[in-house]
Amino acid sequence: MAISLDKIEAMAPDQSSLSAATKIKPQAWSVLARNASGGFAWGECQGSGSTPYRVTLTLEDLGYKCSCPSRKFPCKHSLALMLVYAKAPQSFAETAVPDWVSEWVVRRRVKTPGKPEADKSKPKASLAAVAQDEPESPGDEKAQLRAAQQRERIKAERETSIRAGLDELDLWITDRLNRGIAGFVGDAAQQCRIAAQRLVDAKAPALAARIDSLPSEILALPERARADAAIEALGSIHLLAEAYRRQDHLPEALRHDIRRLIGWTQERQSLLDDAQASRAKGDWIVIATHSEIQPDKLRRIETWLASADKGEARYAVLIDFVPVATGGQGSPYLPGECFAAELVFYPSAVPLRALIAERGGAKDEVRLPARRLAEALRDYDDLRALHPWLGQVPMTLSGADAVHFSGSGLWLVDGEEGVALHPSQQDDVRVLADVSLTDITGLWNGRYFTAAMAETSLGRWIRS
Amino acid sequence: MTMDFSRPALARMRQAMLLGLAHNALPKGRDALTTLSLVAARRRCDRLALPSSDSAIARAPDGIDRAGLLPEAARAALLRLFAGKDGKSSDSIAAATARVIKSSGLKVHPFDYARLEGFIAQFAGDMGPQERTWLTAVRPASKLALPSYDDAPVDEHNLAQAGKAQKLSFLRALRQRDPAKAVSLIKQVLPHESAGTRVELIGLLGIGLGDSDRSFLEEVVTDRAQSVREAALMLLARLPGTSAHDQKLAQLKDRIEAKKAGLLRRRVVFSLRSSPKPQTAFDPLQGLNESTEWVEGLPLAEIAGLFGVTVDELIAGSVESPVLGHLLLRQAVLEAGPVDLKTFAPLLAGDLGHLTLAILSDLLPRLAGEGRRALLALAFRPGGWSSLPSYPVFASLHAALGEALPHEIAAELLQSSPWREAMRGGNDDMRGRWAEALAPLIPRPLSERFLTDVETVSRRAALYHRFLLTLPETRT
Repeated sequence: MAISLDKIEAMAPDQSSLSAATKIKPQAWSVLARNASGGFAWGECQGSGSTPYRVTLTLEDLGYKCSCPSRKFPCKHSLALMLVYAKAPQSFAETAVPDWVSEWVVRRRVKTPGKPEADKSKPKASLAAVAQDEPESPGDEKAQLRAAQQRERIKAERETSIRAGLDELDLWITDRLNRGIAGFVGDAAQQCRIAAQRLVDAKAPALAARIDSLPSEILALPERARADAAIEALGSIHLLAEAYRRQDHLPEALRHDIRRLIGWTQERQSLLDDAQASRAKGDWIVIATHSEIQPDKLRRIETWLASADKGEARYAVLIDFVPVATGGQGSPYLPGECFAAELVFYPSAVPLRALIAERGGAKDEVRLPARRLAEALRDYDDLRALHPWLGQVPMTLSGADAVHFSGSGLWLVDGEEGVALHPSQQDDVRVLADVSLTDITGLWNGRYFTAAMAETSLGRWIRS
Repeated sequence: MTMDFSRPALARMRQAMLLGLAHNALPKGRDALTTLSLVAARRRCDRLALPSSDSAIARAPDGIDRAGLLPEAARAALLRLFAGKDGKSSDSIAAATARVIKSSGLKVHPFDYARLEGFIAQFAGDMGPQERTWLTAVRPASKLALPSYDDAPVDEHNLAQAGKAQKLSFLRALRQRDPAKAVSLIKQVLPHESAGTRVELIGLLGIGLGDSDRSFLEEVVTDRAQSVREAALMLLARLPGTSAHDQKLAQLKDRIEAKKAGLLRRRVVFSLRSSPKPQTAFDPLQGLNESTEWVEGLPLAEIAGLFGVTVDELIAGSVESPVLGHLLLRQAVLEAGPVDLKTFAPLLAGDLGHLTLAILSDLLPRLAGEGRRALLALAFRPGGWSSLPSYPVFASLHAALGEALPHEIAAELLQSSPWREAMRGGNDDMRGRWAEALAPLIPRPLSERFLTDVETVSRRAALYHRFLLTLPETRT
């Protein structure tokens, strides 16, 4: 990942942090160094404390760590180190990597080119990693067994709790039906909040979040579409509850999807270590980023990627969650940037969510194969047959024009086929109606198309 | 058991679910939740129907705006200035940027409209037709505030229906072009306007006031509203030969005190007598504002004649009195007569004072070309300052000037010791504010020089000049 000023600005939690970073004088840096392979850089910055703050930066994905007590992330020292590197990388001397740098790099889970090998003699950083350690002696086998039994017991309790929660959820939905969905739309926020809290208690956090975000999704739609959207959402949620109860009869991949939609998670490391997991290696382009604050005060950051594989486009989404309190604004990636990487996909009937298993260097360009709208819509319907709760799926279209219809807003039209642009971005994409589109990439959710990137007669358009 | 998914059946079920009557409309053998799931699944397969092609809105014609697009580097700089985390669109840098874009003849890239919406809305008047069309589409309310691009332009036929601002704007422009026509239109609309608007309409006659306006003004002094009568009398007093003019001269003579001064070099010095309002004695700026009308429209020769001295003697005797001196300077600039402005040099020596700034703010918008350059050269002399004026002074100056300083004056400012000391000392915040306030006043040929001073002081000031440097030289 090339460090650009735009990217640093995008990462800054606020303007004051950026201003403060620009005011850190070069003399404040007693050490500015990087490793020989250029994977990461570090510096020591004299702040208000007695000892300099130690700042580390990974150059590929702009990971950062600073020893200062700031509660802003990135802090001004991290931003300042990025700025120095962006403006004058030659001021970083190539030296041996100090322990405090290598320890932090090892703790990071994303593999960074040129990172030092983990020191096996040192303790693992995460509890999950500790849990996967080999038993050190036969005497520990009993402890291992006990721990396994404990895990099974907890899991079984959670299953019971979730099933009870789903039963209660069915009652709640029935109650909404009996009272009338028209009334529910007007009071969805309060009603959904209560239902979501009960599901959190029932240990089904993902389903709880789905219900909690339902009102905002409904209210984002035109008023005439809200009642139907509520019917669709509640029906889909009941179907999910029913599928969870019958998961043993469903295909393995779909079972993973259902459990994830309820709230079961898979450790990142276990996915990275899973040799059976689906992987894709290639050059990827960031087609869209999206950041939103969830009701649980976590910021959900989506980074949508695409690559060309044997004439077909392959898509993926990286999903990260960061506490809102850290001030992080969004994805560290900028739409349009390209890089080489190997992705590993979470098991799914329609594998989209992925992790970066290994990062490569920046790439100049990735051209995505495009399809006609009718073909892309058919494919989406096929995917939805595999995964009934499928949300947004990226597609790259050629031969479509953006057309503005009086009273109906903007649509993408390709012959007899057409998809409506999402109501929330009608103003942003209005300019596309006045240019010729070569191709357009966006996210289709079965009802609305959210344009993300387009090649046009006026150059590349990227969603702001 | 299959369920009836026909459109009428689904519509009935939907209606029942909306009203809470789903249990009455359930298909045989189905419970409410299963039916809900089936209806939802069926609905998910429906796509919104493509609207009829008859309702498609035609694309904007290619010829709507033939201006070229800003270069890529300028686009990036513009976005960093106005779409970033500190993308404020209300400061003098924003105004200067809009002005530069307008004068360059280039237009904002359409793909940046959404991110620059605040900037485009703030300076809609400086934007091209394509930007304004987009703005009115996404902000329908802004249509009213925009210049009449889409609306029928105001002319003499629809003047009565136009809003106050449009009416005044049209008549102001007409008065400069065709004073007699403007008077005839003002006569037409005047009886139908409120007293406040009538005062403003009469005030337009101040532009190019002449004897031909006299008869109309003499009619207006009988207006029913006192404020309108006063406005007309004020203008009549500027016309020689009227009784109001003579009265005004007599009043001015009472307000100016002439004294003999000097032992070796005897001379007459002039000053204003104390204002009838006590507070003005402590506030020269307010004193200036209040007394401007005392001399407005009175030729310097007539004022000098009141005291039996020449114009040069009047000026030489007044430069020690700041308020009177600045009043006479203002009058001399407006007369654009044979008076050598350098006579006022002693008045303007030293730091840039509030009175001088007020005079500059008043006069600069009225002057152009050489007259503007001469006044600036006289009044804006950084080499003589003991310290850099506060940053609002530069912001006010930019607002009055509406463009960058002439090259030689800006160069003198950047070389002056007050500027260098200000950039070396002081706190970061103050230096940043100075840099931002001064940035729009520095012309592009001095951008590189300015950047060396402010690069680490103010990101915004530096970005503005980086933006200037990205534009083709011939366009700025």
